[in-house]
Amino acid sequence: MTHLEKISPIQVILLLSISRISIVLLWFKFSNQDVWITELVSLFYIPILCAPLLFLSKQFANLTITEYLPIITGKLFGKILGTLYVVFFLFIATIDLSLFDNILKPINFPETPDYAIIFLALISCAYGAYKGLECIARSAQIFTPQILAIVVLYALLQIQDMDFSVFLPIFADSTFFEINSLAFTNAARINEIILFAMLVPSINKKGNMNMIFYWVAIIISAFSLIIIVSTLAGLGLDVPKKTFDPYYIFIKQISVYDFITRIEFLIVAAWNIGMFLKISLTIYLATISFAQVWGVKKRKVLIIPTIILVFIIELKTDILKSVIAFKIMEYYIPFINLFFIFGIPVIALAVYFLKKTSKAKNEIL
Amino acid sequence: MIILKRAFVITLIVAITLSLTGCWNRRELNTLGIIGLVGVDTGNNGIKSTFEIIKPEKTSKGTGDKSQTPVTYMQANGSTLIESFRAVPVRFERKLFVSHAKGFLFSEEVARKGLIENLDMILRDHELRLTMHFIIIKDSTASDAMSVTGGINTIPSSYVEDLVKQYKVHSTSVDTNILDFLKSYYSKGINPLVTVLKKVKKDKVGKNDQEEYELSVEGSAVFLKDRLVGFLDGPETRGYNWVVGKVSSGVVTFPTPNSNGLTSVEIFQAESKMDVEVNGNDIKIKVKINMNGMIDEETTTIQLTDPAVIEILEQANSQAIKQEVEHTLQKVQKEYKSDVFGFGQIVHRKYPQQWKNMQDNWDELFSQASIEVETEAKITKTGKSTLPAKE
Repeated sequence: MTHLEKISPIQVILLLSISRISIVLLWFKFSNQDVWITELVSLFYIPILCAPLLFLSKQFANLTITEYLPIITGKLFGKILGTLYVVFFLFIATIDLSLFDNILKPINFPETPDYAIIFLALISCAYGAYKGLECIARSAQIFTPQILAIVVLYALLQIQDMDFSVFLPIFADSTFFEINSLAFTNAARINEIILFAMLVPSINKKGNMNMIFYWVAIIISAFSLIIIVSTLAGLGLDVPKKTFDPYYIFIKQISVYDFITRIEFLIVAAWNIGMFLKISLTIYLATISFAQVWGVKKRKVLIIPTIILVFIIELKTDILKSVIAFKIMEYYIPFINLFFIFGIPVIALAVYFLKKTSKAKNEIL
Repeated sequence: MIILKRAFVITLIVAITLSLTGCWNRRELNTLGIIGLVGVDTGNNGIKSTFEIIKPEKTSKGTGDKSQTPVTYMQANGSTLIESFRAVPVRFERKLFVSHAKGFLFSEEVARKGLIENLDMILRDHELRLTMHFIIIKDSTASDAMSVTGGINTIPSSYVEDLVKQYKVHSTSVDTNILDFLKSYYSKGINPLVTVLKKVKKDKVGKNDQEEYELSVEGSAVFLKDRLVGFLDGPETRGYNWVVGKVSSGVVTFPTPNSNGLTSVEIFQAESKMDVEVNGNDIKIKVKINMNGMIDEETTTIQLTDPAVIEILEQANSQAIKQEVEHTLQKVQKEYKSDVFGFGQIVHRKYPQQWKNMQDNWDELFSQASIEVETEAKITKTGKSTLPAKE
């Protein structure tokens, strides 16, 4: 049922890369001047955090995480864990939509009510989820290179006004421990490994799956680095700490000979497309994982109830409040991610090896 | 069933098409009051803001008739800046549109009390741009200076913008925007130096009895954090520009050695290197400036064809720059005790451990630091003439 749709490795790389970069374009925590170093150091932590899920995905290359968890941990426990992943996908869709609203509304649509922004965004994403994985992946293949090109273009246009002397020597303001803990937190923000674990059975040429995800990590880090370094060099080390959207403020300053100016509409287009891809994908994965866990035959019937649920959560809870949304993004997301990226997979891996060892012992006996 | 499905799709398409005729936040041009400048003075409730609003029909005619001003002014009071913005529509029929504002003008009185409270709204609001010119009005109110158009441009905001941008020609002023101010304010080891405008009487030419005014951009405003502490005049501001490497053009005039005349050298290129040395409690500020230029005017009879003479002039030129720089550094150190140059940032980069103990009283330490200025001027051209005009 889930494996009818096939996508290529390049589509997976582009889809997962834009899934993270679209968030960095909207929001990034500029805690200190060493954030650019932490982005590089996080490349060391990403493989460590992702290792359990990558290993399991390799062992069960034809199954999604919600399909192989019941095989490893047993039917009941597997259903519970699978349901947790459904909730996780819904939560990611909800918080990302809230973040999107919190950035878009004050900048572009201050008079548009929240419900209108959320409704229109959800309708578009529901359409994406309805059309399926192939459609979302093809869209990512078309739009991701364009969005990445926009990031490079912005950096090049503003390079004349960047002051790279603002960067202090490494360890001038932070310790080895601080840099590493920030890098670890950065790595924990990359929940795309869970999305990857759901997409593995749909990849048409599996080859070296680790390499597919390493490419995702490299693209995410490289373009995050361009965004971070250009923002810091353009705005200085301290102004980015004061605002939710320093990258947008940085882009607003672009003025090349008073000729190329006011080109921030490109980033607004990038936000819209990036968030459409990310939220469509998470809604798609929420419905498909629910269908797999609870044996629903047609996942498409779940789309409308899912978006109604997200719509109600957005409007009836405090998640749309900027203070709440940014607090979740800043403090809670890494811990929540860690539970799903590392916590559950490590338990599953332990059970997997335990079962394997006891099976081997039984065979010997 | 198929007919029902088609009917549903057609209804949906029609419904969506209807919603595409305009956006929720649409603002038609004829409903907007496009702001060119914002002036901030102290008012009854706290803040009095003055807005220069452009009249599109007047600017498009372009007759240059100054009796028909292409702008109108609105004033409003408020306890906060945004409150004064929102008080305008009570007496003005259009919604203020600030995205195209070219500058924010603050009176000296407001600036001396501290500006950061007023900048929060600029940083927070979605319409305002941090690249707007940030200007302090010296010796008068912002509203008074805003209405002056002493040049050719009939729109005051364009006049102000063009005037401020002239700093590249003379180097005796600075062009700062709001982002520059915020960057210096938030950073430790540097304080803001801001553009100054002063309303001055225009020199009378011919038989015009009417008193006319113009704006002068010469000089700069020295801040300690967000509070205005004083001003630098034109040559002092150029002294600042020499130090931070922002001199791009201008003329250095100095007495011609061994004569009673003067030599003027046009600056082609100037570079500077700032450094700080910390030895225990001793802090030494080091500035090295290199300049090359062309003799633009010589009022004596000296032989400009002789390389030895050129060398003497180069030394005199270097000395003139050195005096200008040393005077500025000493004034800023002793009188204002505010490191507007950013020497503190160099200490932060060079001595990160010592900086932790110095950062909180850096401005005090800066004021006691010794100065070492090294200048080198090269005269690479003598203009179109070989010999001076005077015989």
